[in-house]
Amino acid sequence: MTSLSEADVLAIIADTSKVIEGDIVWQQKGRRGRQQTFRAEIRSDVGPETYIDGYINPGSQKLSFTLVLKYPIRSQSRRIYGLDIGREHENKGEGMVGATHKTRWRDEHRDRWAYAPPDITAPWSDPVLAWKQFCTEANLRHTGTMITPNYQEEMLL
Amino acid sequence: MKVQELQEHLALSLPELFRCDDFGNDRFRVRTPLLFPNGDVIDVFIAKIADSFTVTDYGDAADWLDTRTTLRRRSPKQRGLIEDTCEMLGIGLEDEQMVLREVTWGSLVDSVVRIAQAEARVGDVWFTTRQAAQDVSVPRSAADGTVNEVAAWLRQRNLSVETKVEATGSSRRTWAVDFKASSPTKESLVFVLSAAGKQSARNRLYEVAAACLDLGRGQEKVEQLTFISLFDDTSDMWSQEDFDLLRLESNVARWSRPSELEELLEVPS
Repeated sequence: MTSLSEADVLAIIADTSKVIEGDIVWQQKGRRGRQQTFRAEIRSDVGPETYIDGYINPGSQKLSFTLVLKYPIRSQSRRIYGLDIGREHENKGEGMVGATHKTRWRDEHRDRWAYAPPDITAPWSDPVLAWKQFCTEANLRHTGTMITPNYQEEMLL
Repeated sequence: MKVQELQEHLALSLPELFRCDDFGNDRFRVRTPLLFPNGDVIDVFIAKIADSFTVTDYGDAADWLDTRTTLRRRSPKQRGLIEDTCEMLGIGLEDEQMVLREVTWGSLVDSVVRIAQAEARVGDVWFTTRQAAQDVSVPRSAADGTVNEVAAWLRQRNLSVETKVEATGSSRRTWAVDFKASSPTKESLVFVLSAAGKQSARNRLYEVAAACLDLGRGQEKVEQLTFISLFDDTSDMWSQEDFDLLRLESNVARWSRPSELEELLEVPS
C-alpha cells in the first residue's frame, strides 16, 4: 500500500480479524499527570499494521481514540479513523459537527471529515464504555480489559 | 459566578461566536470561532480561583498536535516554535499547558484571546511535520528537512560549521559527511540519520557505519576529530540495535535530546 485511499481505509475498518490482546493501561503524560495516554498494537490476519492511540484530559474534558495506519512507511503514520468526545469540529463547507464525532479518512478531505456517530453515547468521563462502543463500529476485538484511568480533580490547576 | 455573567462580560468585547459553558466547580469553557488546521474547534478554559482567574488550555493544543501527528517526541524546532509562541504572547507554559494566572476581571477578555491565538499557532506547528508534508502534496525528503534543522541549530551555537564535507577513508573511498562542526576544543564530523522508510533507514545506517569505520582508520584522521551519528528519533524509525551498532565506531546522539549533542560537540557556554 504505497498511497492511501478511502477504499483502503474502509477495508481496514471492515476487517473483523483485528484484535488487541491484553489489558489497556493508561499512562500519565507529563509531570503533572493531568492527561493520560495509551498506545495499543492491533493484530490482524489480513490487514496492514495499525495501532490505537488513546488520550484523555480531565481538564479539557476530552477523550479520543485514534486508529493509526503504520504500514508501510513508519515515520509517516497516518490517522485514518478516530473518535473524539468533547471536541467540536467544523467540516469545511458543511458546518459544525457535534462534540462527539468520528473522523474517517476520505479521498477528498483526508483525515479532516467528521460525522456524528449514533452509536457513541458514553461521555468523556466514561472511557471504558466509550472504548467498548468505539470497538464495535471499528470491528475491533479487545480480549483484555481497559483499566479506568486514575486522576485527581485537584491536580487540574 | 454564573456562566451567564461570564457570557455577558465576554460579549461586551467579543462576538457571539465565543460561547461559554459551565464546567462546574467555578470552571468554564469558552468555545472560540478559531479552528485547528483540521477543523477542530479551539477551546479556552477559565477557572475562578479566589478573587482572580486562571485562563488556560489545559494542554489541549499539545494534545491536538499529538493526536494529529502520532508523534511521541517533538523535534527541537517544534519545541522551539511552541516556546517562542508562548513567550511572544506572554503566556506561561507548564508541562505543555498554556496558562495565565491571577487574571483580573478586566483583563479576562484579553487573556482568552491570547490563549486562543497561542493555541492556533501551536496547531500550525503541524505544518512542520511529515504528515502535513504528505497532505500538502509537496515532495519532501525527510532527510533534507532534518539536515536543514540541524544546520540552523548548529549555527545558533557559535560553532564553525561546514556542510556537505567530503572525507577520504583508509580504503581511499570518499564519504559525504553532513557537517563538520568545530568548537574551540573539538572538531566533529556529524552524520545525520533521517529516513522516510524502513529500507532507506537501513541503507543509511549501514552507510554511516561503513563511513565511520573507514574514516576512523583513514590517513587524514586528526586526533581531536570525533564522529557523531545523530539519529532523527522524532519518528519511531530506529531501534536500540541501530544505536548500539553505530556506538561501536562513533558517538551517538538523538535529535530529540539536543543537550546530548551539545555535550558531544563541546559547545562553548
